[in-house]
Amino acid sequence: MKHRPVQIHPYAVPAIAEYDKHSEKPSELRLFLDVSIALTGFTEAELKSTGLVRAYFDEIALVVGHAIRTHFLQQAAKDPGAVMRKDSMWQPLAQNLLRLWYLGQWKRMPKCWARTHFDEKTQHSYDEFGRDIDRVVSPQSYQEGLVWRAIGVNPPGAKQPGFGSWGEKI
Amino acid sequence: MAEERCSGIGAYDVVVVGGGVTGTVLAKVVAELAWRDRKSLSILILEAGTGMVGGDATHNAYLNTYYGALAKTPNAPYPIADNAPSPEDLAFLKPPQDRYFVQRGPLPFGSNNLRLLGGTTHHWMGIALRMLPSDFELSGRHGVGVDWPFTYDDLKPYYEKAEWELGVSADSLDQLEINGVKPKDFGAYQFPMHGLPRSYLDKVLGKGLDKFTFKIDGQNYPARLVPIPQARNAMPNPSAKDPRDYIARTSENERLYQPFGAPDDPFTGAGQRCEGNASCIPICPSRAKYSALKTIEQLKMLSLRSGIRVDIVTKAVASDLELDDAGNIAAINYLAYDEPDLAYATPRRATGRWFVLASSAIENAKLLLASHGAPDGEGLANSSGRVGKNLMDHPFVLSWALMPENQPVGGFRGPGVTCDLPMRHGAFRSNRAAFRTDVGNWGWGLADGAPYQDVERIINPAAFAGMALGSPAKDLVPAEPIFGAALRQLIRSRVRRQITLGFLMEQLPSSANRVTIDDKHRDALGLHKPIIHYDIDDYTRKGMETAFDFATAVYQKLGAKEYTDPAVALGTEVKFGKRTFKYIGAGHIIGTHRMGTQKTNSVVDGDQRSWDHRNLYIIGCGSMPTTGTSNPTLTATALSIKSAEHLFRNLGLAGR
Repeated sequence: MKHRPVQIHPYAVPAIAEYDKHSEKPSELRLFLDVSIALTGFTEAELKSTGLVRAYFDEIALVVGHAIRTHFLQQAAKDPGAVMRKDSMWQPLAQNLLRLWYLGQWKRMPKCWARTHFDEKTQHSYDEFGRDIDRVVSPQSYQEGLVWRAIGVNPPGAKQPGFGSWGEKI
Repeated sequence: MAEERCSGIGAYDVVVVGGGVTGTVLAKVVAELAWRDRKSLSILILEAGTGMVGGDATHNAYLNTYYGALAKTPNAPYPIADNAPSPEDLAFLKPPQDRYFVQRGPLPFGSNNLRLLGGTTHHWMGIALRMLPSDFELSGRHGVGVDWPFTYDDLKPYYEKAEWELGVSADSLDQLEINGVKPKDFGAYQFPMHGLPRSYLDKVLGKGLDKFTFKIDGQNYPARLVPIPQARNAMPNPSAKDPRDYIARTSENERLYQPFGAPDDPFTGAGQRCEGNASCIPICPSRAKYSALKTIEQLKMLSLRSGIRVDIVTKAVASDLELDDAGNIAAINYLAYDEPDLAYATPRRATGRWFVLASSAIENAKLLLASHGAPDGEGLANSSGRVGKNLMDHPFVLSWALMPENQPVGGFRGPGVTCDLPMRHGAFRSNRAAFRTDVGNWGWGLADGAPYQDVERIINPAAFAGMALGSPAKDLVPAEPIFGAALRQLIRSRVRRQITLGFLMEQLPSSANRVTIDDKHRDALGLHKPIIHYDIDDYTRKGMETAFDFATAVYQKLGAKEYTDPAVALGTEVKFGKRTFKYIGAGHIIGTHRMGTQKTNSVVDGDQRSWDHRNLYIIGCGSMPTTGTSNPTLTATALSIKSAEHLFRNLGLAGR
């Protein structure tokens, strides 16, 4: 993947910039965005307009730990298709990334997934907060689920389209 | 109007148990009549659940709970008190001893209600259609079931008032003869608001099914799309005149309809229209859909302007009824709790002159059966032995299909249902159930968990590998996971072509389907849990077979590929011959205190007044002798208004 160098104003650096301000190397957050764009089929602007880029980036580390997230993003950035293949050890995580974006949900990872694939050092921080369960990440993540945008409708119960909108041709 | 607990619960003119649609509409109509005739009146409403009126903050909290809920089931947004449990949406996830309903089978009763101020109208769909003339004479015309103690024509004026009370949107010209009612039968009457616009799906299906007929017992029945009347704000009809003669008016202008929107909200309270949120069940964000909170708000305003005393006491669970020496009801005992989930409550007693049980069919029956005082221990109001019996529902079965590639129909747009494909009456009712059809505007949402399941199938096909070879959904599962632009495109094209036809099946009364109690099964406060015996007979199962055949014929006519599959459908299996179907509850809890013409064959008379205790009315869907095929809330509301007028005539109130 190619990265366009950008000039970041020294006083406007977010907590995690997309690019390192000295080397212009993409940060992990930038990798996350690129992987998300490739896997979801949505554009950068569409993903950012959900307001949830940072939340989902954090969510992955909160469940699997920083080390595994780093591994995953590096692999996925190289070849997004490879992590989705059924024989890939990364598939469950790639699927959860899609669930976060499309459904606003996290689904429990396969049993012993971390223990099977990672050494002691990497897996020790796996799911330290007990978040690896089936759940809706937040009320906002439900409303921003990309599945509704893909279909071309409002998320049921939010962003009301207006009286009679349901009668119009699609 | 006190929403807090009253310490002195003095003698009220009317004591109502239950703060849902039937109890609050009855209270409102009695209060309107007292105001019109300048009488003084006091009403107490006891609500078992928690809840407060109106309030955007409360409503928004419900909404947020809904957004965050993994399973967006009917009761998901709402707070449910351990001290007044509601039947669980997903009871099968709990061990049997922790469930509220004790299901004795052979089949589970699939419907539930909500014990919260405002009741089940919080999560109802809002469909408000009348029963057919033939529904009132099922025995007379078809030789099955029983007749009602009155005819459609007797109830018609109350239907009109109920439609104005709930705020029903419909056009009488749309109500076709296929429903057994001709447009001209409506006479000069007009619904308060014009019908909701038809969905794009309705338009496509209407065109595709032009002149289509379906044969039952050798007779052809036209399959036509008929717009469904709904208690949901649309465009007011400026030429419609209010038929509610119980409302005091100073000018003819006041007979124009004023839509009622969000209670307590000055900005949307003027009457917001349906905004197409596509989440009527479980929650209408714009509050265009009727909920009993609107009636409670109107009752509050009426109380302020008239001085009529209306006390609403929440967290008050009625436990039993007390008799006086003459055999009339003297008091209602109830348990008052402070903390919803702390099993501690104080026994209290509410006295009054007239009593109304309006706590839903199952709770009404339970309360009567649990009341002591009758010598035989059979509970109160039960000289007929019919309290709790004839429990019914509209067993709900689903079929689903995909429209052809080039024909998207929508999916997840607008109110859940805007049109019906009725098979509601005909000679076939002598041997099988009639049904009405939810032409679903929400894709395969209910049938197959769309769009979540669609995403899962595409990104995680391995999870569906075990799918039986014969499953029609097999061709929806790709060989390898799909992602990126292809995923986005596939979801779009697939979900927009999904159609679901859901059938609400008529069910006949049977004394074997019943609610009982047993001292061994009690809830947190030590009150009885309902014990339910329930089955679905061959009359309904044969109707299901017809409904599925009808669905298949419709899909063939439309060129749609059918995906109906009892293996993946939601609900419980029932068999009919070699066929297997799955049903869920429609949320329509009917029967349990049947109306009738005589003390020996029924619990209440045609005004829902107890035969045994003449100062007691037992109201709601429990009074309905048969189910017909109409979602029952409108009929229950019409019955409430009928009872309210009757009660007012009996009240003998002093002037002011």
